[in-house]
Amino acid sequence: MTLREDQIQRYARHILLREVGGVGQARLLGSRVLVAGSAGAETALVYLAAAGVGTLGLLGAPDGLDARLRALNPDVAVTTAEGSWDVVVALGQVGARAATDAAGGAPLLAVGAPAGEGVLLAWLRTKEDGCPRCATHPWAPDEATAALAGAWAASEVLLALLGHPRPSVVVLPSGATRPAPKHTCTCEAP
Amino acid sequence: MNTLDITRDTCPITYVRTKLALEALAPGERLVVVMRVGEPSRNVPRSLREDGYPVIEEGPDGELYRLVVERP
Repeated sequence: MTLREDQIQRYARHILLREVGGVGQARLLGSRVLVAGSAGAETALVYLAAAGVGTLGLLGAPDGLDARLRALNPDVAVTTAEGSWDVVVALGQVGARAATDAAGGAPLLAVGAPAGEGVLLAWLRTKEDGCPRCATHPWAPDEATAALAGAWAASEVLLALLGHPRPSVVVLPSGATRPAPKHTCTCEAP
Repeated sequence: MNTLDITRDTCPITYVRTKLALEALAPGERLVVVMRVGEPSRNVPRSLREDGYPVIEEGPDGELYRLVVERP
């Protein structure tokens, strides 16, 4: 995929990054990411749209957000949950089931509450990893925490799409991180 | 050898175009880059080296600056 002149101008700062380059930017433009849930979804989607992820699926996002995303980056196509996805993000337990169904075999990033404090970002890459509902605890973040979680989730998704996936992690209020604990799947993973 | 003319560009687009042209080459292929003397001739060779692209030769070429770089 050759970048158009307007895309070279738009994504110049990304192309300069060693982890992205023109090849990585083209890969992002050809990628499809579904974001399900409401808390933190807007932040995650804005970051992904600005990064130039070509197709964004919305499930449970605020009304009018699709138009805002297209205005932010006209390269981005915004759709509903139909189709297959390269990565699916489930924010909280709302929409977790639909996200799991939509993911099929695609990597699924569950964002929610861990057993203790902080925010859990859990990559569920195989059926044995379970679903977002069994990997996380009920989550009712304040606005700032939700936004931070959404931004963090977008970063992890971009790294995964670019071929630099990172392990699951718990982000503590201090900004420190610790490895995500292994959970026991208590549901019947689809 | 492919030649890239970035004499009409300013930073950072100078290096962006250089990087895109290099990514399109096969390993071992070389690219000639022609640029203005000044900011581009200071920044482009330095950025190439920082990113691990071997600069084979470089120097003034009339009023311009010319370098040869290889795709590792």
